[in-house]
Amino acid sequence: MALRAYREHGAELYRFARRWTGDRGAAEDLVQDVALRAWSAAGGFDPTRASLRTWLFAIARNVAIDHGRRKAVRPTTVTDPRQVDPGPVSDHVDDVLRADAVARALQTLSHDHRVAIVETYLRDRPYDEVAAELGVPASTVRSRVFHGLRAMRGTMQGADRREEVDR
Amino acid sequence: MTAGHDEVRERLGAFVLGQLAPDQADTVREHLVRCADCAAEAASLQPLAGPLGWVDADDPVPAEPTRLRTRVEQTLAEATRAAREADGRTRPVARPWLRSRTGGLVAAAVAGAVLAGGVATAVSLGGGASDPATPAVEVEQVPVVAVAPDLDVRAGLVDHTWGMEIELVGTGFVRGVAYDVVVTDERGRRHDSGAFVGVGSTEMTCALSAAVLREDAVRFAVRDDGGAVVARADLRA
Repeated sequence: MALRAYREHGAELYRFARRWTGDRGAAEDLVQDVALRAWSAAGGFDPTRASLRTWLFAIARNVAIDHGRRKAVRPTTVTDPRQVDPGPVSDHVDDVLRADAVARALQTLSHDHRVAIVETYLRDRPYDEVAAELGVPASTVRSRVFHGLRAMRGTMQGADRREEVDR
Repeated sequence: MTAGHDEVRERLGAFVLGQLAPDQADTVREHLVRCADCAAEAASLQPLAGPLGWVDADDPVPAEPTRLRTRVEQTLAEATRAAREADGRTRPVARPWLRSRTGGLVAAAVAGAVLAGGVATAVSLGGGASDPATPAVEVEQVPVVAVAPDLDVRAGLVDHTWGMEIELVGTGFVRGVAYDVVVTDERGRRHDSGAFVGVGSTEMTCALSAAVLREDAVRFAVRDDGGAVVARADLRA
């Protein structure tokens, strides 16, 4: 059971671990711990209650919390980093669990939309600097970020619907 | 200050990502109080911000290293072996044909039964057939119920990362009759797991490969060429 769960979802589990730990070696240890925990908990898996993936990632969530939070958690939704409330570790785990779908949606964006989001948000660069580099007004970069996020939301909603159909 | 709808709307992305200066963010908040459309838009984009912050700009979808997969599969296999040993359900043995027959599995099989379909496994046997250093493999003995008369059969399982081997030893399979072995997994799916030809009262030893993980296997059945089950075993722990 654990082996099958790992074979089917190990790649996604590794991506989760990489984001959570921010480190290759620590990510591999985390994956191994999740697999072993799943192995010992295999008797508790009930296919009528949850998919194999849901079961595996519920275990991953607990193991990740045990491993402790990544040191540098970037502020996300507030304007003043001094006001950042790191929040419960579990909130961050949930964000990281959702990050894979977001990352894949980001990959599907047009080049302009993706660059605007990657440079201003993932690389945390000022809008003016990115705008100058791209040779467009800052308002255009803001507009691309907005429309890029909307496109990602659409991609993710479509993926959610497909997952529902598959169940 | 009152900002225009279009001007604010264009900033909603930067707003939910926390990229606006405090005064600009305040302007957007004021607008959201009055504009249900923009408020709904912002609310639907907001959940992306947290997860997006965890995406690596240089490696958004990191690939799992092959060595990790190998390591994890080995760890799980070792854990399974250790647990079975602790249960006392298995005993480590060396396969007699590995030590006593220079031809290894093939010689053993020819002496007992003719393997059909190219499914008998030799890949898992490791070192040289007469090599005294060949490591012992662990065989899990499972009780077999013989349905057909005059049939005496024993079976052992060897757990592998790719599936499992079934080792059948027995007498009474009717000479010249083709038998096949089918493993059923926990989802009820049947897996053809090899075939052999009976050799009557001569004891035959036959190793068959099943593309089913040991932990997923529920039972196996040996069927004759008419499809009748002549022997079966329950594989659940």
